[in-house]
This record gives sequence, structure tokens and C-alpha cells, in this order.
Amino acid sequence: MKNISRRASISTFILLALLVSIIAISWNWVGPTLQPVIAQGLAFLIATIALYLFVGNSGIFSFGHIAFMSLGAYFSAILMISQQNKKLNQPGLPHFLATIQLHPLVATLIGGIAAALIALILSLPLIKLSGLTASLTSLAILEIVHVVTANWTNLTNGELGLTGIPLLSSVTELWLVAILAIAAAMGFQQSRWGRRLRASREDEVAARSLGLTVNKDRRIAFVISAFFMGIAGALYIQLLGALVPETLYISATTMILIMLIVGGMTSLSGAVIGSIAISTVSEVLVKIQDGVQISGVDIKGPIGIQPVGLAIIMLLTLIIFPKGITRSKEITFGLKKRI
Amino acid sequence: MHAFFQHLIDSITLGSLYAVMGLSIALVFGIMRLVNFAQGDLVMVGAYGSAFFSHAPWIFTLIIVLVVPIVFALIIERIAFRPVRMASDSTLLVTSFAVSYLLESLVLLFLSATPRGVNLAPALGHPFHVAGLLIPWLDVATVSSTAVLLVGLSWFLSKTRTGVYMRAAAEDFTTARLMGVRANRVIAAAFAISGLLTGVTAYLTVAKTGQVYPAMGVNLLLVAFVATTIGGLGSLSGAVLGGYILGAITIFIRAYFPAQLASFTQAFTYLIVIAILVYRPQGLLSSRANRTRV
Repeated sequence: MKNISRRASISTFILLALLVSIIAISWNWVGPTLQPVIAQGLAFLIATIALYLFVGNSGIFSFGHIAFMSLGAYFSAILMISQQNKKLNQPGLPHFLATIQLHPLVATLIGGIAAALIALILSLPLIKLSGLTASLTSLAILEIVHVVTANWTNLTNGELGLTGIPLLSSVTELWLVAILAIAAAMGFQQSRWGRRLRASREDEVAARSLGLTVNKDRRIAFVISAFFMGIAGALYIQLLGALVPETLYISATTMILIMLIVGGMTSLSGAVIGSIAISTVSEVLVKIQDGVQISGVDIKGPIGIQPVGLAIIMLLTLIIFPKGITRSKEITFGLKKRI
Repeated sequence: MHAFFQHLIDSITLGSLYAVMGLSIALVFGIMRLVNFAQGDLVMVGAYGSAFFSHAPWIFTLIIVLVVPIVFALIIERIAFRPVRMASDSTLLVTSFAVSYLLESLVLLFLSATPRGVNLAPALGHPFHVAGLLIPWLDVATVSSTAVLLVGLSWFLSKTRTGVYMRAAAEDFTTARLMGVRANRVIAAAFAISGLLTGVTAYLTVAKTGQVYPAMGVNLLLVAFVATTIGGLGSLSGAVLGGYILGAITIFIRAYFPAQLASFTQAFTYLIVIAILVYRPQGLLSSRANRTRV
């Protein structure tokens, strides 16, 4: 049984990695208008996998994960923006930070580590809370990070934001991190921590009665998930070149939630397929919103049709397929999987 | 000392507003275990009602603001929440998030994101003096309408048939249904009452701020969540207590904090809330509905 489960999960990993690779490679073929769409889609794919790693395994919904993406983005941005740009935009920066300029990849890694460390500290009080209370408290964390990034002007330049963030020249980094995130999520859900966590997700009382105390497992999932969130944030802003507090706030939160829910909350395949599907639909809706010509027919929707479309898709998914379009199962080469 | 009393009055006023909003969340949660994100958007919907009818006689505007959220609450319950009623807690939570997102996007689609100015009940804006304290009539209206709502609600819950059914359902939904309590009726009643509470919040908020915009409910919603969480999810008296505590924390931090940290007020408020939760993970007054059912 264990063997089948392992082979099934390896096949899932290969399929998902292939899917992501095809999308990453297609970046080279599409025109310059679609390139940023694919790149940003990949960044959100990483974020959705990271969200899944915590939410999908623990069953505790988090509305605050974008806070870690924002933290990773800010930490890495301050470390990678050039000295001249900092002099211009952030005159109040402490000397050490004003003179430092790291390689973007090193800064990205530090952004991820910083997000993970903050998650570790936050997990100390949060771990005590029960499911719904924890979900609501996660919103408080999103708010705290937003208030701090919007007002600590010496570091973040407040609402005016940071500019001059070095840009990524290809999607190689995003592709590698996406594969790594898929591997980490797959590895975690096959590990004993992941299995214990999934047991508690199904029935917490039963899991506790079997002697499973999942606080430590929850903390591990939370920290790994925050790490990838931080990395995703750091890479995402290297696509935009600029960062304001609203870049990673409510609308980004909504986006990754829709991706995970439409895909299927409790499967890794759901997170990956959901984010690809929603990125595509969202782009189509934006195109309709801007006006597009298909075989001679002008199609132009009213402004604001994109969020309405996404909201309706999310709501219908929840009502009709509560387990998402993958029915919360992993895709495999037809191997039956027990868990 | 004067300043202290002024802050006390301010925190009671703000706390009343938060308490009503928290109550509207707690009421629905107690029965359905649904934490309703769309509650904030019901405030927004009611507020837009006032914007469209702001030149009508005040009593007419008031009725519109109270009725529109009730109607919307009932429609939302019927279309979105009834199909997922038996789903897990997190599915319910996310469904309400989707509803909230839909309502907000629809307002953005049909109206616009630009705030509208509404001069609702200008007479309430004038203050009067008592013992050197400045008290706007709006504060009196806020506190007294909260008092009326609290007394009315506790009368309703203890003396009327529907009210008793609602308490039974909050205690144990399955058993209550077995005893003949109608699920649809009880849940609709909870949504209608929470719609009414939201309508009152909407009227008072618009009268105070004079503005109506699509995201206006978000902040009140967060506050209501926090109030119900520290009070103990699902506990009605907890929600009221949480609302007043949060009101006091907000006002006193704003008043006694160094000026250069003023913009961080909200962050400190939430930190204090997390600190309270560390000591009382179940909230101050924990309720039956929030306990795990075996």
C-alpha cells in the first residue's frame, strides 16, 4: 500500500511539474503582451501552492497569507534596490540598509527566510486558537502588515511605494521555484507531519483521541508555507518593478483564495490547476473588458466585469462543486491512491 | 479629567456601533456556524439606499436603510447559503467571502468606486454641552438605538416563539430540528434580524461620515469579526462586550499614544486583540456553538 501511495504521488509530481514546465516554456513563444501574464500567473501559482500547503493540509482557512507575500516583497526589495534609487526614494533609510545592494536572487531568498521567521514568531500565539478563530485572526495579521507597510515611511516609503526594483529577464527563476514548491508540498503531504495534519483536518477530536497533537505539525506547515509566500512575493515584484502596500493586499488575497477554491481546497493538483484556470479566465475577462476582436466581431464588456466574473465562478464552484474542479483528488497516471 | 470623560463618551459611542455590528455576526454564527463576510457589504448596500433617497423625508430614508439590508440578507441566505448549509465551517466561511466579493464587484460594475457625499440627518450633527463636555446628538442617537436594540433583541429571544426556537437552534441545531424547530424559518429569522442590525449600523455610519463607497463595509466588518472573536464566537453577550472593549481600546490608544505613532493605531489595536486571544483562546465569554461537537 505504501508503495502504491508513493508511486502515485511521484506520478502526480511528474504530471504537475510537466504542466508547469509547458507553461513556463510557452513564455518563449508567446508575444510580449502575453509574457507578463504568464510570468505573473506563475508567481500566483507559487503563492497558491504555498497557501495550499497550510490550508489544504490543516483545514484551517487563512486570509492572512498575502501578508507573508508582502513581507517577502518588502524585505527583498529593500535589499536589492540600487543605492542611487534608495537615495532618491528612501532618504530616511538607516545607513546599513541604504548602502547594501544584494544580488536579486540572494535578496529573494532572504525575503523568503524573513517571512518564514515572522511566521514562526506569529505561530507561537496563533497555534492555540481553534479553526475559525484562527481564520479571523489571520485577517488581523493582514491588517497589521498593511498598516505597518503603509506607514513606516522610513523603510517602505509609505503609500508612495518603492520603485527601481530590478526586473527578471526570463521566467526561469519562477519556473524553478514553482517546481520546488510543488516538490515541497508533495513531500510535506506524504510526510508524517502532513499525514497527521490531514487526519486532524478530517476530524480533530478523533485525531486528538488517538494521541495526535498537531500543534507542532501545524507550525511546520505554517512556516514552510510562509517561506514560499515570501519567495513568491519577492519574485512577483521583480516582474512589476515597483511595490506599494496595496500591491499585495485584499485583491491579491481574493485572487489566491479563488484559485485554491476553484481548483479544489484539499489537493495539490487542485492548487496548481485552479491557479492556471483562474489566471486564464481572468485574462480572458480582462481582454473582454478592454475590447477584443474575434474573427471580425467586436466584443467589449463593461469595465468591472472581471471581478464580477471571478466572483460568480467562485460562488458557483462552492455551490455546485464544493470540492473544486479536481474534486480535491490528485491527478495520477491512473494509479489508485489510498490517501 | 475632562479629556478622560470625553474619551469615555467617545468610546461608549464607538463601542455601541461595534457592538451592534458584532451582534449581527454572532447571531448568524450561533445558529449556522457561519461567519458572514457579506455583513460588511450589507452595510454598504443599506448606505447606498440612503444615498439614492437622501432627499426624501427622513423617516422614509430611515425605513429604506433598514429594509434594504434585510431584503438582501434574506436573498443571500436563500441563493448562496442554503445550498451549502451542511458543508464544513471553512466552506461556509469562504462562501460568504465569495458573496461579499460579488456584492462589492457588482456595485463597482453598476455604480462607481468614487465616494458619494450624503448629508443624512444634519440635525444630529449638532452637539450640546453637559458639564463642559461636548456631546453630538448623533452619539446620543447611537447609544440609545443600541440600547433599544439590545433590550428588544433580548425580549425577542426570551419571550417570542421564534426567539426561543432560535436559542434552541443555537444550543443544538440537530436536536432542535428533531423537536420540531423549522430550520429554514429559524435561519431566515436570524438573517432578517442581522439585516436589521446592519441597517441601523449603516444609518448611523452614513450619518457620521457622510460618505458612501463600495468598500465602506470592510473596516466595520473587520471590527465586528474582532469584537466577536474576543467576546467568544457565537456568544451574543460576548459580541456586545467585545464591541465595547474594542471601542475603548481604539479611542484610548488614539488619545494617549505619541503623535508620531498615531498612524499605527489600528496595528496596535489588533496586536492587543491577539494578546487577549493568547490568554483566552476561546474568547472572553465562550459559547456553546463554538465548542467542538463530538
